[in-house]
Amino acid sequence: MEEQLAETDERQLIARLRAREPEALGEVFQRLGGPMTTLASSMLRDRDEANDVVEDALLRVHRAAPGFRGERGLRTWVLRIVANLCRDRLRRRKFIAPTPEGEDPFEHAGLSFDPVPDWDAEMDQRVLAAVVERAMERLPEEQREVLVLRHRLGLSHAEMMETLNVPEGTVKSRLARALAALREQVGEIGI
Amino acid sequence: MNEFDPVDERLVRILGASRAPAEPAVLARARARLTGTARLPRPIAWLGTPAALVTACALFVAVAGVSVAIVRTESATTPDATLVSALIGDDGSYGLPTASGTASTATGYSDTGTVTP
Repeated sequence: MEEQLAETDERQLIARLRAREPEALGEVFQRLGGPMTTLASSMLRDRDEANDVVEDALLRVHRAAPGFRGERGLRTWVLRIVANLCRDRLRRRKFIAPTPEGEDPFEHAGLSFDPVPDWDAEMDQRVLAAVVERAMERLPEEQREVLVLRHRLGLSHAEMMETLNVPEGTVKSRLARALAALREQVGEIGI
Repeated sequence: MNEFDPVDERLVRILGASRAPAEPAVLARARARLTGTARLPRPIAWLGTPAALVTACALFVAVAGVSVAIVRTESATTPDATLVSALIGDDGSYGLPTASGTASTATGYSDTGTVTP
């Protein structure tokens, strides 16, 4: 029942976007601004640049909305726009400057960390989280992208297929490789 | 059934605990850009579109083609129309007196063509 309501709600929002209602863009930002910024910050590792990408993505959403039929789902469509803009920026930038030693990797990327509930490990989770962020910086763009979409934004495999425009097998293999690479990098950095 | 081994599970949980909050200023900037574009007169706004670039390229190609065609037609109808012939004039005098006596010097004297031994 709740799911149906959400679906109707999304359809209405898409119809308003297609009609280029000015308030519709604000609603998109209200719903998806967080995931858009999280994806851009995680990929670009720079708060200001991430905000620029989100701004550009909103403009693209507004301009492309009349041609969007909604069969793909609003979230995957919007995140795809953000992912493409991030790739463009990274291609131009050629490399990502790693967080300088001693600087907080969260601050550097514009991310915030919410403590994990029921954390039973003896290790301080904030320290581990900082190590994981440094390890993420070292991963190739493609691997970082799948880890963020899956584990930070909670997309399903089907939604990832739509966002990345790749087959399901590719999504799964890319995810497995990315997780293995992250584990390796965390081990290298040392915890 | 658990999808991950314990190490991966911890990594995944930690990974999922980071977020970037949306900044309302971003939406305000996007809206300002949209209203700024909307306020431009339609022809000016059109100049910023990809269609304008394509049209400009097409016009350039068309004008270049027409120009080449005109130059070719002109050179075909007047084969001797070179820069030198244009500079020396039609009579080929180079500004010097000729036998017909049509060319004159700056002093007003004319050459009769008679050779005095």
